[in-house]
This record gives sequence, C-alpha cells and structure tokens, in this order.
Amino acid sequence: MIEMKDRPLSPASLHILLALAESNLHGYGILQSVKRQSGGTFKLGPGTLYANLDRLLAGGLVSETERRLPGGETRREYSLTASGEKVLRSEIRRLRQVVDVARTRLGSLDERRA
Amino acid sequence: MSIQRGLLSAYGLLLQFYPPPFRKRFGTEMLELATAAELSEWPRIFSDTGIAILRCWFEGSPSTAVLTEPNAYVSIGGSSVRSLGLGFVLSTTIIVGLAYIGYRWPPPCSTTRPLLIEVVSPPQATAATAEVRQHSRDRRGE
Repeated sequence: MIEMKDRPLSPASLHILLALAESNLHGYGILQSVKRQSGGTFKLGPGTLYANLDRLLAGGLVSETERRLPGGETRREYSLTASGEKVLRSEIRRLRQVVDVARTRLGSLDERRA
Repeated sequence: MSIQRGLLSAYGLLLQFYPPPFRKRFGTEMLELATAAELSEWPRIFSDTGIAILRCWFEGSPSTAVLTEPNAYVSIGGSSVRSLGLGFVLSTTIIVGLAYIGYRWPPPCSTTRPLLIEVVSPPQATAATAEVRQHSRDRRGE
C-alpha cells in the first residue's frame, strides 16, 4: 500500500475525495461533481481523473465496487474509505491553517497600507 | 456525428499508448467518458490524456508498479564487476549481431537462378506517329 497520509493531496485528488464524500460515484459522476463543487473552475479530464483514482485506490483512500444496473450491465463505482475520510479531514485541517495564516498576514498588509 | 465517431476512434488509438495493466483496468471507462464529451471538450481531453500517458510511463503508476519493483529485475551477476562484464559481453553480442544482419541484408542474388528478361516489342509506328515525327523534323528545320 502506498503511503499517502503524510503528503499534501494534489488539487485533483482533493476534489475527487470531496466528490466521493458526498456519495458513491462512477467516473462520469465524479467529473460532474468536481465541476459543480468548484463552480466550473476546476475541470478534470479523463486522463487526470483515472491517474489520480489509480493512486487513491492503491493508497486505500478510495475503494471500488461493481454495481449491476437494471439492464444487466455493470458499472464500477468508487467510494471513500475510512482511511480516505481521515486523510481528507487532515488535509482540510492543513488548508484551514494555511487560510488562517494567509488571512492574518494579508490583514496586517492591508493595515500597513492604510 | 461522424466527427464524434472519428474522434472516438482516435481517442481509442491514443489509449493504446497506456501501459497495458492501466489500459485494461481503466480503458473502457475512459472511452465511455469520452463518448459523453461535447465537441468543444475534445482538445482538452486529448491534451489531458496525452500528458497523463507520458506521466504514467515516466513516473509510473500503481497499476504498473510491479514492473518498477527492484525485485522484478533478474540479476545477471553476483557482484557488480561480474554484472558489468556480463553486460558488456551481452551488449557486444547484440551490437555485433545487428551489424552482421545490416551487412548481410539484403541477401545477395542467387547466381544459380537465371534472370528472367521480358522482351517487350516496341509499338508499331502508325501513320499518325509518322506525321508527328515529320512535324517535329520540320520545326527543327531538318
């Protein structure tokens, strides 16, 4: 299993995990969800999506299941694992710290200019 | 519709450049995603997939990780000196072999087999041909 817990997540991986935090999704569903949650500013291509999914699956942050559709076809769905949820929470905490520091420093910059 | 089909075929061809384990695992899904793409999205799909393929080969992917594990390689010698020697012999053999093939290729013609020469009789001169010849002679002033 690849160790991904201590490294910051790439923007694509972060968006994929956030999309899967809402519900289990198939590839197309993830693309649509990422587009929606980023307000259309972050668009994933199939190459980036599956390269990231490959790493997330190997890291145990995402799991895959085959779901049988009414027509008899099968569709592969991806879901967030407990480990993935933990990593996502830790990444959000890290980003919050960055935002807090940025807010303080930019605030003092504004005060100096005023 | 035919443009979309052509783009899909080209995309299917592009997917062939992925390492086989990755392609087997995600290729069908990637093609399905591309089927739902609009015409304006294709340039981004091609560039994104092209870059992803290069990264997959150069950086490796967990699907192809078995190939990049150190134990996946077969050691050709116990010590580094022996490996170097064996590597040198192996490389020399390959280079000499390829040079020999290059020297001998194409193979020389067999002398025992007679060459077939097809004699083609020239076309018969017609009245029109004679007229053309006369005309060209007149132009030259003969």
